[in-house]
Amino acid sequence: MTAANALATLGTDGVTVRFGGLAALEDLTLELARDEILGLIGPNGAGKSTLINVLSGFQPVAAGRVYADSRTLTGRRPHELSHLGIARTFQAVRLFAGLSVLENVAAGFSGRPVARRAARTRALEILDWIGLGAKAQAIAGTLPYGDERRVGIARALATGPAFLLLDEPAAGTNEEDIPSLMSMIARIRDEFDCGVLVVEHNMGLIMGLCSRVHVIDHGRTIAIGSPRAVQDDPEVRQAYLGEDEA
Amino acid sequence: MQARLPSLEEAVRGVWPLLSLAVILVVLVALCSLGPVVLQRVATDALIKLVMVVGLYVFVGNSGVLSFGHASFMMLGGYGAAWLDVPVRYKSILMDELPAFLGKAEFHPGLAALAAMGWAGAFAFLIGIPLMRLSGIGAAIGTFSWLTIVFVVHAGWEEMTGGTSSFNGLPIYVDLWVALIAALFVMLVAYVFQTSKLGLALRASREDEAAARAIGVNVWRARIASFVVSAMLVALGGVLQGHFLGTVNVTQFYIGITFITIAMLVIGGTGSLAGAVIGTVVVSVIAELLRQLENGVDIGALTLAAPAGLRELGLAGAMMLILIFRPAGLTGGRELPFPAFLGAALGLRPR
Ligand SMILES: Nc1ncnc2c1ncn2[C@@H]1O[C@H](COP(=O)(O)OP(=O)(O)OP(=O)(O)O)[C@@H](O)[C@H]1O
Ligand SMILES: [Mg+2]
Repeated sequence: MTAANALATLGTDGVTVRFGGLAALEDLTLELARDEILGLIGPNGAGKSTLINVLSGFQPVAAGRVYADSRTLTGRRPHELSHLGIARTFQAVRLFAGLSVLENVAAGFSGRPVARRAARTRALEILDWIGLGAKAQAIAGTLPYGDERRVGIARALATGPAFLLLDEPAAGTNEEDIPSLMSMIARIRDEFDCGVLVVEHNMGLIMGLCSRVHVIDHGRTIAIGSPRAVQDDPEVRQAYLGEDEA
Repeated sequence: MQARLPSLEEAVRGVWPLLSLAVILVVLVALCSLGPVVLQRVATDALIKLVMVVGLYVFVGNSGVLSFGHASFMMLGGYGAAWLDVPVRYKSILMDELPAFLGKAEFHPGLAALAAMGWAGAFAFLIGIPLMRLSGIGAAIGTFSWLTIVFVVHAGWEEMTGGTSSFNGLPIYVDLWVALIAALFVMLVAYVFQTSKLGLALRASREDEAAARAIGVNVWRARIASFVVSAMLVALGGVLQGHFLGTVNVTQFYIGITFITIAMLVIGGTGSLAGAVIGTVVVSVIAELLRQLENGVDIGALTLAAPAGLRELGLAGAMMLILIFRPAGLTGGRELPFPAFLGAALGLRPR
């Protein structure tokens, strides 16, 4: 299940994104390594989803650049970045609601030189791996919320990513299901040989899973470090206390 | 789990949506073939519509983008084939201004049909490059504008088309069976396309364009590919129409046919091949009944005739009712379900 390409890092360098007068991202520099699980946290509206949009080619930047190793990726379109090994999930999940779960995941092979039948077989393997093999024939729009998110992850894995960007994978998940989600994400890094960026509001998940945490607020970096270090950072505490009791 | 299912079930389930429709269609056509000549002609006409609607479905159904422009490809197909296969003895009298390479040439109708499909496909490719960047209302208006251009050029280019009068003398080779074979062929192409990797990518983009891009689908390219295939199939419909009636005319491939083919697809359900086929069959039957009402029904000594235009009214009404009460169409955009009894007969587990 190893991704074929050899990219080792993905990142942004001084990226700024503006929506009208609002700077959603301001001079933001972030790097994700192939062998790490990086947490990206920040209060609501901090710019986390915007950053995922930038890294996956959905959001043009006003300044700065996106890169993978020594290649500049700024301005590349989403499907091109997918072919290069950048996969993402959406905060709003965005499954192909009218298609079956199997078709959702098989579609993930669209940009890869994999024959139709092989794509189905490998999609089933991924679904089994993620624990949804029994629901392969279900129509995606009928799934419960937690299953939807896992199909979204399975679909992203089918693209053979070197980097996987997860936008709030635990949203809507019961607290008792968080540990299995955490172990699944850890196994993604190990078994799919894929760097993972996790955007989450669930601090237990971030603290338990991530080797490094990148904290942003109002589109700017306010701290980078180990989970423990950022937790104790006064500016981080201020950002969270100032906006909402996380 | 699916991976461990017997391969027989995989195979049967895999072809079921196509097989079931083909069987239904063949049975219906066989029944019609036993009826009077009039009925056979009505059925032939319906099968030609089926070719057009299934062709339209290949693009609209899989991409989710509406096209009001597909009649242009019928026109390109119908006239394209006529240029090639109308006998020289007719062309020299009826179309004496045709350039020599067409006026003095006469090709086999099969060859002419293939060339006409290629002709339409080439235009679809060229016009698809800009148009396939559009979706929603932009695509609807863009494709309709394209139809207008093709109409005006054909209507205005007297030497090539005879202008607004008919281009006659097309060899009449389309009967019920030719139309049936064409319809089955088009259904096969549509089914192979929709189950291909490209077809799946396109249906994914129909469901959620952003998510499709995120998994590596080049939506523009997938749409162009389906637009070309779709145009070629629709062009075959135009060819068949011309060689059923023995004549082509610009108005035959304009607003009227655009509306009726879209009505058939929408009423059946845009999202599935079953929708295209069932919609065509149902609308054809309703349209024929209404037409007979218009012509008058004898009840004893009395002849009751409904006012002319009832057919159009009936179709428009049916379309509105469907849009309001069953927006995904009669089939709900699903293929025909695999019946449990058949699974049991084959010794397969129900799911
Ligand atoms: N398309 C857009 N147009 C205008 N403003 C936008 C757009 N997308 C995001 N924003 C704004 O940019 C800021 C950052 O939004 P973003 O969605 O990146 O935040 P976030 O950190 O993901 O928040 P949350 O935790 O609520 O998901 C917000 O103020 C948001 O309102
Ligand atoms: Mg967000």
